[in-house]
Amino acid sequence: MDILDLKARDIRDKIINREITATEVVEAYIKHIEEKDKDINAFITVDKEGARSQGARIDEKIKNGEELGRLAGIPIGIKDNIVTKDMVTTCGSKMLKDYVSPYDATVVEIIKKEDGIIIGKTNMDEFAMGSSTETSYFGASKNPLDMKKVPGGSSGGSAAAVASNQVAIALGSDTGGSVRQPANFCGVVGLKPTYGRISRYGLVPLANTLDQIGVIAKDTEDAALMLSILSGYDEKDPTSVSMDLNLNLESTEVDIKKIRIGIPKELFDIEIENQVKDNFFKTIELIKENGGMVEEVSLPNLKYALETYLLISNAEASANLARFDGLRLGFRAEDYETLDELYIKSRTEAFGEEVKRRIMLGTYILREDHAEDYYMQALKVRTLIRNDFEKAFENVDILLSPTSPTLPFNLGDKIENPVDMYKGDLFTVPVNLAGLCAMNLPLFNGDRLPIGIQIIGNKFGEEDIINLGLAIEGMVK
Amino acid sequence: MISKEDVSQIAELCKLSFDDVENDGFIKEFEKVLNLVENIKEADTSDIEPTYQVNQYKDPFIGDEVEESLPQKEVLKNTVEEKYGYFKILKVVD
Repeated sequence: MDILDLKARDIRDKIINREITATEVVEAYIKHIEEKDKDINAFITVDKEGARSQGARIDEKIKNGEELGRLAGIPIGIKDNIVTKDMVTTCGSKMLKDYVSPYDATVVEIIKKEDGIIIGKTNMDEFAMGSSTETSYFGASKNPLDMKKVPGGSSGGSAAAVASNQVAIALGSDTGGSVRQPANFCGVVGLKPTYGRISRYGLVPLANTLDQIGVIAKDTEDAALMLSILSGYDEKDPTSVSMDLNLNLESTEVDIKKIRIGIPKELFDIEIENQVKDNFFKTIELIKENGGMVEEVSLPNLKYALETYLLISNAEASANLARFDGLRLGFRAEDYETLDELYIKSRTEAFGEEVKRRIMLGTYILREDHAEDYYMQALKVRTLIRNDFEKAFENVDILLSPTSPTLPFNLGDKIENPVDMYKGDLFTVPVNLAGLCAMNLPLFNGDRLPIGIQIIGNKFGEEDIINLGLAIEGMVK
Repeated sequence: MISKEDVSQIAELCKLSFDDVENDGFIKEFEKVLNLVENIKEADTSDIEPTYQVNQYKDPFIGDEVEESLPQKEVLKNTVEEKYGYFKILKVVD
């Protein structure tokens, strides 16, 4: 048995059954990270000592017969825009390269309470702005399946860490696909829950009405386990919601005939790489062969989704990033004579190019003479997109699409061309605009580069997407 | 078309500065993104309400109770300069 190959839930079970110790798990992972991460660069910070003392504490608990938490001994990676008081939280930026939060994010508190082992903070595009992890101040991460390729982004470090067995499970954040797309590129499961399902307290915001913390895992069942533990209302995040989550993980036998599946017909108007298209239709055939009901639905306003997303997310981001002024926290330029100079030099020296572009764009479209044409128009089109989904979900439980229109691309290929980069998020952004839940399920094709499908559920329909995920995993086994 | 003056004015609002070379390249990419979002103007949104939040949302009231806030020392540890328990910046009033 190789500890590194175990699913997260199996690690916990084997520790509780005394087949392995938490210390053995921690040491195996640390050794693997020391060998592997020189090349992959999935982590910004690795907390070896913290992980070791956490492992020892769990073994002590077992010795004393104390009850163990639901994540006992599971090595976990946390995206570096989720604050932790024992480690720096950099957001992949020079601006926060030394920042240590005085408090833990709610999800971090829960993981600690459940005896999870936070082994490190994972690499990401600067302030989660990007789809390749190449905008990180700490250097790009690489795709463990092909080192010439990007791991996707912005949660690329989390996806690469899970795919290369450097953690058993990881957290990311998803504003327009930042959990699902890197999960797709690295061939792992990426679950973005419904807006409000998991507390965002302690997640450094990119776009508050779109952001959601999500899970990157080796399979659907592990993702469901983490989701069930993290979900729930948190008084520190007034947008979090108290809604029952009825996941029956004991019985993973799912009857696919009971799930009504829709395919948006507008997908066929979009340029999709052939291999991605072939793989998608093969999956549909497989579902039909197993008795699944698949029908066509229409989302006529999908054609405005990318524009709507760019306008809303950048407007919100430009306001959010105004807080980085060099005064209370973050980078401060050394050479300034006036307060204005302090602001301008600190921000200009510490923000990367993509971050500056988005702040500029957000500010431009919010300017008095443009706000009505761009920002207000985007908010209204957002209503149209929500209405489309609402109507579609009257007839189906699930919508399917590819997760990304392309296969993983080469490092350096798109970084100079932001518009190309943005177009890769075409299938993922509508889900955030409508506040739905969705999951990338990896399906490998012949030459081993992963191609995932995106399973989209209605608001608070996590049960449906997890059930279908389990069913498809069962079919391809 | 967006002018250099426009870019400078927005940069001032953003508290960012661009040197000339950076400025030119920046305008090109910035315009491409603006062209992309231009399509949204053609959507018919007459009589459509804007979406500010996707879920029903009500500002919660909290009880009027005294609670411990973050310790001053912890909050100040991330600033570059502090004095007498305050953030130290430039003197702005003579």
